[in-house]
Amino acid sequence: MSSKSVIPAPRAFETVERLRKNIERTIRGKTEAVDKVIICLLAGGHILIEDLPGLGKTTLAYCLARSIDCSFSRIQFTSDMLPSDIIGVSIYDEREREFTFKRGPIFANIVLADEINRTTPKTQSSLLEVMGRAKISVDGQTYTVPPPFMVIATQNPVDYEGTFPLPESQMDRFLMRMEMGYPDFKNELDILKDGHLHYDHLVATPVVSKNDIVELQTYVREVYVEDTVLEYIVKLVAATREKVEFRSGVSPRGTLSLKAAAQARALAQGRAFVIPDDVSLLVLPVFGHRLVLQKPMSDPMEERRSVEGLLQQIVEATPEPS
Amino acid sequence: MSMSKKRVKLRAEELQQLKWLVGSCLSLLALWALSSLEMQSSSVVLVAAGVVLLSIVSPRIVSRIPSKLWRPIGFVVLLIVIVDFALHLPEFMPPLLRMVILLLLFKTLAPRKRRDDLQITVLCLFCLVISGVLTVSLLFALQILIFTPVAMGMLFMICLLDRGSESRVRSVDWERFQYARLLGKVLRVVDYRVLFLGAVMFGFVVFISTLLFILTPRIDLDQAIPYLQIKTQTRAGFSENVKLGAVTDIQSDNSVALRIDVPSYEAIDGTPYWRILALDKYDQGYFRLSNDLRDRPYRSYLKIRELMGRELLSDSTPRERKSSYKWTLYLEGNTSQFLPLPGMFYSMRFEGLQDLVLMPGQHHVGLRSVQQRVFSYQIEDLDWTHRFPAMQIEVDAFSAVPMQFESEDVKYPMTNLELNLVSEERAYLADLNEQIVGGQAVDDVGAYSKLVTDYLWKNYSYSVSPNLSGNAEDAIVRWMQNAKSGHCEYFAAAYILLAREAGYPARMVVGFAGGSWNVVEEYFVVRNDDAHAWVEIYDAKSREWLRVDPTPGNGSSDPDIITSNVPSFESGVNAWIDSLRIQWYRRVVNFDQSDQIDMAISAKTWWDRFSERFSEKVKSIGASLQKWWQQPFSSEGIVRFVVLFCSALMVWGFWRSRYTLLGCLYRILRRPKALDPIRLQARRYLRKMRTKQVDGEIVDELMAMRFGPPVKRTKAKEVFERARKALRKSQS
Repeated sequence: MSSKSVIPAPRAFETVERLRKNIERTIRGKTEAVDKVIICLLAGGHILIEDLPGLGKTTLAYCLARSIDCSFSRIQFTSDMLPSDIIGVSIYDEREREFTFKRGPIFANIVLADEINRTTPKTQSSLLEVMGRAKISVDGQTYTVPPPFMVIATQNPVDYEGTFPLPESQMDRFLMRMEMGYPDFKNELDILKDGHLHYDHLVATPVVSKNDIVELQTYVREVYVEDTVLEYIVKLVAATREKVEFRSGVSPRGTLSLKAAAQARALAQGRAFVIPDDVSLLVLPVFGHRLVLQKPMSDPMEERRSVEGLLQQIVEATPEPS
Repeated sequence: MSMSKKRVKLRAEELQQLKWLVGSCLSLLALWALSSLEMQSSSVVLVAAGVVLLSIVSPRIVSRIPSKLWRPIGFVVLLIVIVDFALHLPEFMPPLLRMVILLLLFKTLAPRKRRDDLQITVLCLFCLVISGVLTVSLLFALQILIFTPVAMGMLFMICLLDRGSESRVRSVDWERFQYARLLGKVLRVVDYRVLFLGAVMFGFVVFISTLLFILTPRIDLDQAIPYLQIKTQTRAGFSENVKLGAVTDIQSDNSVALRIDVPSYEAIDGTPYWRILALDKYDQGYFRLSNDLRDRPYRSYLKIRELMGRELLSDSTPRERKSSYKWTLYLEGNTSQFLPLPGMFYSMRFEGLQDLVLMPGQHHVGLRSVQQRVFSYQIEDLDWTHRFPAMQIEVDAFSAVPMQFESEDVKYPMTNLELNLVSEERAYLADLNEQIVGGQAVDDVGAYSKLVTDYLWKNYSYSVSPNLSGNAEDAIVRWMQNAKSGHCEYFAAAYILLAREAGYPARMVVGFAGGSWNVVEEYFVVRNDDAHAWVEIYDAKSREWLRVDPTPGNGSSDPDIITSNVPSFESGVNAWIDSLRIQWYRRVVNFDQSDQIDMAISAKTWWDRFSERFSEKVKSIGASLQKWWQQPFSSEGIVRFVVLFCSALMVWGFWRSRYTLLGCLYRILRRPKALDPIRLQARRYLRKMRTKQVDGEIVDELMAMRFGPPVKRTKAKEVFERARKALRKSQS
């Protein structure tokens, strides 16, 4: 085959493990959520965390940013927010006699977009443009967001009063959607013992450098995916398109996302190749938010659950390559 | 998903339930075997089988019996058995079988430990063997074939439970038991490899037992051990005391009574008559053997293996052997004490020594007691005949002046003339004789017989159920006076009465007439509905007994004209099933060890020839090698050697580089779904590891081989080698 740089899979595993352990010191008992966030980070995607307030969404994002030794900013979305509040604004400098660009909070490595559905579509779309291209054009000038760049958006799925739900096309930009869920008894006890109330009090020391992450991100794209596994991904996607319960199937972007996520998972586990389990375990988080039911349900939580049920059926019905 | 595939396992309780059910099935099988022994306790078997069946269908009912109750029930069973033995003591077998049934029932229903399960298995085997030995029926083979896998499964489960903790799961909860659930789970659990191994083992067991069966000398266990014999009764129509209508009763049964291995189809007489018993005394609707015939000198008792035909013909000249054709007759059990004999013969052979009853005058060979199992005998040089020579004592008696004998005590040969009728009835018969014969001159028996037969055929028709009315005291005379139709016994009896009244000695003969030809295995079958009654009349001229069949539809009215009917043919599924039985008999029943010896000899000659040929071959190869070595090399020889060497090298090289070569082939063909050979091999190993639940680094390496980037062939081979080792290790 083609000449390929050898991926140092064990070293990647070790790096990821360090990162994971560090985050888990604070986010107790949420191994799966942490894994997903890390996979997203390695795949260079963005993640949408949907859950009730107070479950540690922000803390997770903060811990991640702090463990990596990179910049972190948090944007609390409100209905009166303008795109410039995110991107930044050009201000006329009296001394220089020209417009200088004042960078907005989006210029950080890890951006926490809190309650993204609270703001107007206009503002949402400005954020989403950045997410898609990792570039910002203001007044004819193009600014690049520093890599690694990752947006962790959150939204409350229950409280829908005065919100602007993200349209399908924009949901597609997120690599994954996930929920946090309640901690179990023992972990909650540990949380109590730690006694932190606010994420600013957390002491997370960086364990991984920014460059490490960028390097891992380049490796992810080279993780080997065997033909039958690729076929498996396509079969899964085709199955979503054939299911009559969905209004439409997963887009090719979704297909690419699943491949990227599977590659990232493989690397996170210290493998230089993708196995079918990488794919099948990530179908739900990667496809879940991209699909809409033909008959919309009144309760969004219920809708989400039935979408996931259908996806689970697809995963079970599609034969894995062995 | 595939990595985390769950293996379904049976819980100990479910295994217990399964074991319980299989044990019940075994005891059902045992009861089935016992039921084929026809004996008085068949109702006990039926009831027991019903109870066991109920317990299988709904185990819940039995489980509700409190376990404390079983101990007193056991005592009660013991008491019943002791009383049963005490009441029937001289008879040993029936109480023994009843005890076995009770024991089976108790063991089946009561809560079972491992010991009890083993006991049920052994009991079942005992029952199968006992019934097999006593009945020699084909069912035995079938039952053993069923028993073997079931018992194997049972023992397998006992072993499994023994390794687990049986003692902890004492009582099985049947309340929530469902067949569908258990069987479904068993189906999911059963591994096809276990089934395959089981089948192989079963095949092996069957093979070995067949071999043993062929090789071991046959001994009749029931002959060797007298108390195993079960006494049964002959059919009423073939007994020494036949009531009018008893033969016709037999006809209502369609089962096979007699199978005959015939030298050829042509050897069978046109209308075969299988003579069983000739009855001389007539008494008010009964034909019986007179008391004189029940003892010496008319009877003799022998214990022999081979009987010469001349012993039945003591009065006349010994019969020469005309041919060496052998007829083998298989008489079903419970049919008759006397053996059906179609005519005279040169010799008759039995399996082992037999207790025989000979009645030379009547030309009968009988057994001391009626057999329950099939009885076989072989007749050499059979002569179909409708005339049997009379004894000297008969000739002397009949040649004397006919006399009136209405006294109480009529001695034997004269019983053939005895009527036992009141005078009006005799007068009626005399009138009738006058009317039949008229003024014609009747010079011999044949002519008289033809007249009487013609008269009977003209005035009466055949019917199985005649209606009888009238007031004559004797049943036959009443029939002759009033009825219009009747069955064979009426015709025969009417003939006899008329003949005796006219002064001709005549006797009633019961047996079978006719039969059918089994096309599948080419043998003759006589069924119980071929049961028949006919007449033998004494022919003073030739001093012989002449067979006459006065029933309409059975040939000519002239006794000396033998018409030949084509027997019906049996074909189809039933005939095929019946032919299995005769094959079984042919194998089981063995008159001497000759065919076993033949088989052994043929095996030995085969082996001798084979070893001889083999050593010859080896020698010739050696010689040619030596020759080749000694002769100078020719160019042709060198070319041949080089070609051989190169092709060997090529085969070896191909084997060494098969992955590379197959990979090339794959790349050339490049079918969309094909995997390259290394990936394929890795997949094969991975599947094996998954089923064997092997874990560890080797699995990861194989995964890399399967899904990872392509690797070098040498590396792959090394990994596969280790995988093979790991698999082997997991097996041991």
